Amino acid sequence: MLRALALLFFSVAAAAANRDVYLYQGADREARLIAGAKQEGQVVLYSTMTVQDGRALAAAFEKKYGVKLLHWRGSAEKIVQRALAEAKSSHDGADVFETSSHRMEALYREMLLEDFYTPAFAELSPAAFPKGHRQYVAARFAFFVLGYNTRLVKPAELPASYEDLLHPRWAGRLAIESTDVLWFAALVKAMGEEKGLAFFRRLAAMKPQIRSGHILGAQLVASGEIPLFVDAYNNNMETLKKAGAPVDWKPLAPAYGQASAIGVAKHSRRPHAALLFTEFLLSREGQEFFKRVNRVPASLAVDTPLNKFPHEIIDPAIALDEGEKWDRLWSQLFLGGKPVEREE
Amino acid sequence: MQAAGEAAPVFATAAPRFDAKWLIIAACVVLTLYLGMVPLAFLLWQSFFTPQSAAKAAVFTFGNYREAYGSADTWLLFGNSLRFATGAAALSFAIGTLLAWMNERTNTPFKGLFFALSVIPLIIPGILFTVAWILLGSPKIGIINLALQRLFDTDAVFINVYSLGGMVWVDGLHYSPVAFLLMTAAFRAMDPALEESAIMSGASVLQVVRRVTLPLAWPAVFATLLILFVRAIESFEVPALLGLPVGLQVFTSAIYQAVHRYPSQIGLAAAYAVTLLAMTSVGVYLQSRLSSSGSKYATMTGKGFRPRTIDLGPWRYLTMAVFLAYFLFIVVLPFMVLLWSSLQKFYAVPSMEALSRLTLDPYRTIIAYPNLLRAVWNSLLLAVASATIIMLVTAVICWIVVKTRLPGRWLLDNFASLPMVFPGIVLGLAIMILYLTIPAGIYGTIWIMLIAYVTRFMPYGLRYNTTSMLQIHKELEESAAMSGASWTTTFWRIILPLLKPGLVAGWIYIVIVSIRELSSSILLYSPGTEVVSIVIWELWENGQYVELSALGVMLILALFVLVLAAQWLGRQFGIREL
Repeated sequence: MLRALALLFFSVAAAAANRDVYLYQGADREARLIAGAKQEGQVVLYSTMTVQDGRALAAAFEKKYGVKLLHWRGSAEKIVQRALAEAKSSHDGADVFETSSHRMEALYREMLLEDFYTPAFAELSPAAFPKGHRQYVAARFAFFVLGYNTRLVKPAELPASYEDLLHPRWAGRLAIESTDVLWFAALVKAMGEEKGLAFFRRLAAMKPQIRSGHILGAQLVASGEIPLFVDAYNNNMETLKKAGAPVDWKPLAPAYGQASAIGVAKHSRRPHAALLFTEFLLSREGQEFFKRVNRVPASLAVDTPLNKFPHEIIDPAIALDEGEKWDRLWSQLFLGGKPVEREE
Repeated sequence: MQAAGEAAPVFATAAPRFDAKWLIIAACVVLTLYLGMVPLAFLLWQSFFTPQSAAKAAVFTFGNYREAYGSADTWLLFGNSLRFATGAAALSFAIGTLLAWMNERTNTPFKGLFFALSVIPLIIPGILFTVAWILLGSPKIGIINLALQRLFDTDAVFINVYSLGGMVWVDGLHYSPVAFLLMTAAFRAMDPALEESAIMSGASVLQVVRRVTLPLAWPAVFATLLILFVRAIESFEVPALLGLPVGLQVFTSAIYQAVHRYPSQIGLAAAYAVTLLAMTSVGVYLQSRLSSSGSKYATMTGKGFRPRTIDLGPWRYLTMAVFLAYFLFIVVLPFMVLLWSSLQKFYAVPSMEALSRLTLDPYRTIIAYPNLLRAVWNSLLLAVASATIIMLVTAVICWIVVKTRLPGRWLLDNFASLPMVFPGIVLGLAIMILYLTIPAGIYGTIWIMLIAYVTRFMPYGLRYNTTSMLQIHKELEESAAMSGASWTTTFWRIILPLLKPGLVAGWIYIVIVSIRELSSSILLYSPGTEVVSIVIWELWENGQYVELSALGVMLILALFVLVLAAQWLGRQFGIREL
């Protein structure tokens, strides 16, 4: 009991001290940050970015600041589960989190994150910031676009709007990713709920293939299994296109994207290093790196062909607050939720 | 303890003083109960609570059970699961048993080569095996369809993997080595005298198989079907990749979805899993009834025997043809698909154009992959350690279950068997939370993964040992005891060597599945304790399929060599002529 109280006291004290570090804006900010980080020696990152990307970033970060980066790679929900379990027992875990924004929103609601400031904010797209706080900001985006096989889809027949997807020529030639409930929710809301749902009901009647996995979907477009992938990620299609696969992509308006966001841990044991790395990733250097590995950087200062169209970022709160509603609708439309009732 | 003494009275008189026996038995029982109980308690406890979040504390509820079983959806999913698991188990069993019988019981030419080849499907990671079959059997791009369409000049679709039949086919094939290994162990330890007498009395080969061989192997048949069925029920990759595109969902999808909501509905997932626990318990209980029907199935007695093979005469060329067909379609084809895609920049259907793009880049990427060597080393270490620990500990447990009359021993069997159906992620969470809470200092180290692996694969070790243990007649240990051997000596010098067929088969199985284990590793690994399966998952998540194929090819070759080595070692240290 005493130990628990002591732990609680120290973590409250540490969290308060961390907040000061994270929000400090004095003239000696950079010098203090670097000196503090050097003393802390390393930073632990829980992130969904690939191990190869993590390794490359670690090398660049270490070269620049002499601070080691330890990257634990996990899927978004594993990161949340691990962070929650570790926080409960005050385990010395992550200093920085980087993953899908709606999972970051979950970490925020679980009070595992903290507000922070970095001058790099100035160059980020306005879409990168959540409403009302700065506990996480987007570091990169992924946009939902049409992905298609250039041998199986003639340029002339390419849809110009979502409505065009309902043309009879697409019956049986479309594919949809099985988990894109957020994209569905955002689009329905944009079209107006009634009209939007009517559109998706008609889309479901086209009997699209339901595929799990965006990357698998993109690969199957390349191999010819899928002629037109309705909700492909543009960076996946771009990567394949560069490798010489017969694929291309096209955004339809309104185009939606999902953000991958970064945030610092409230109870980090290494707050200087945590903030220094976060700043590094959001700075020109980190954002250029994302561009090099075919991601869409959140910084407007880095030029990329992958965001040259009007777009909006899906509000991560939809997933948490209206998740069940949209899940249910989605499942009824595309995952055979409805037939269940008919059989009785 | 009294009951154990009664079952083996010789021991009681031979060892009136302190005996290492009790220490070993107690250690094994305690370890098994501990490993089995921790996740079970966690799962049951969680199933009665609402999800916890910062905004809402967890409260006691029956709501998880209401939600899990109150909806018609669940029962529909459950129906799909049952049909899929029954089909897949039956297919695996038929293929595995036929191969095992041909390999152990007949004089099919070149059969020595086939043992190692037969386990290849198991070595291929589930995701890769499934994707390989998409590339072979998809109606649109499947190589088999394309080839047959060209041959017959038609547009007809010959095979379609996106169907219940396709799911059963792919999953059934993938796990046929489980049946192969189990039934091999059973056939190997079977006295052929009975079969020979049947042949002498004029029975045909088919009659012998049906009336003598299979009935004698009945406990093994039952154990095999049990393990195959339960495993297929919790199978995830095949339903997700082949069932989903055509709207065929199974029970595990519900568990998966529950865990992936926010806040994570572990309780709901646990409530779903309780059905799987109940089904496994019934299976284990039925098997224990078999075990207690005494020495009916024990063919390995004091009389010396050599498992001789049946001379099939000219039919042996037929069985050889069956082997060859199996290898061509089940082993070689998926392997060729992997090999083909491992030489590409992105996957493309074989063509002259694609042929001109062949590259070794994927192999270069894999060899330069961060931490690959460390991951391989960790995987090997974990696989060998967990396989060895499991096989030795479960040998003792299974001795208690099969050879003693201890009341409630089937419960021991059951506790050790239940981890088979814990959803991997629930098991991972249970272990994670336990070792975060108690400061044993193993969280974040490789030890926590060893604990997870041993827990997860203990049930398989137990089944493999049980099949062999049932075939050993009690008179063998009794004579050892008569000759003055202590229990420990008897166990080490008599039981373990006689168990060898099951021990080796189980060991090989656990090594392979440990290397593939993902669902708990992925939660429990830390920087420094990466394993190969994580690397595989990584490549899959990143969409680096050609690199993944390259790793798959390398993995298959490496494990193939490992299996050959294990088999060779087994021969060196085994009982001669067995």
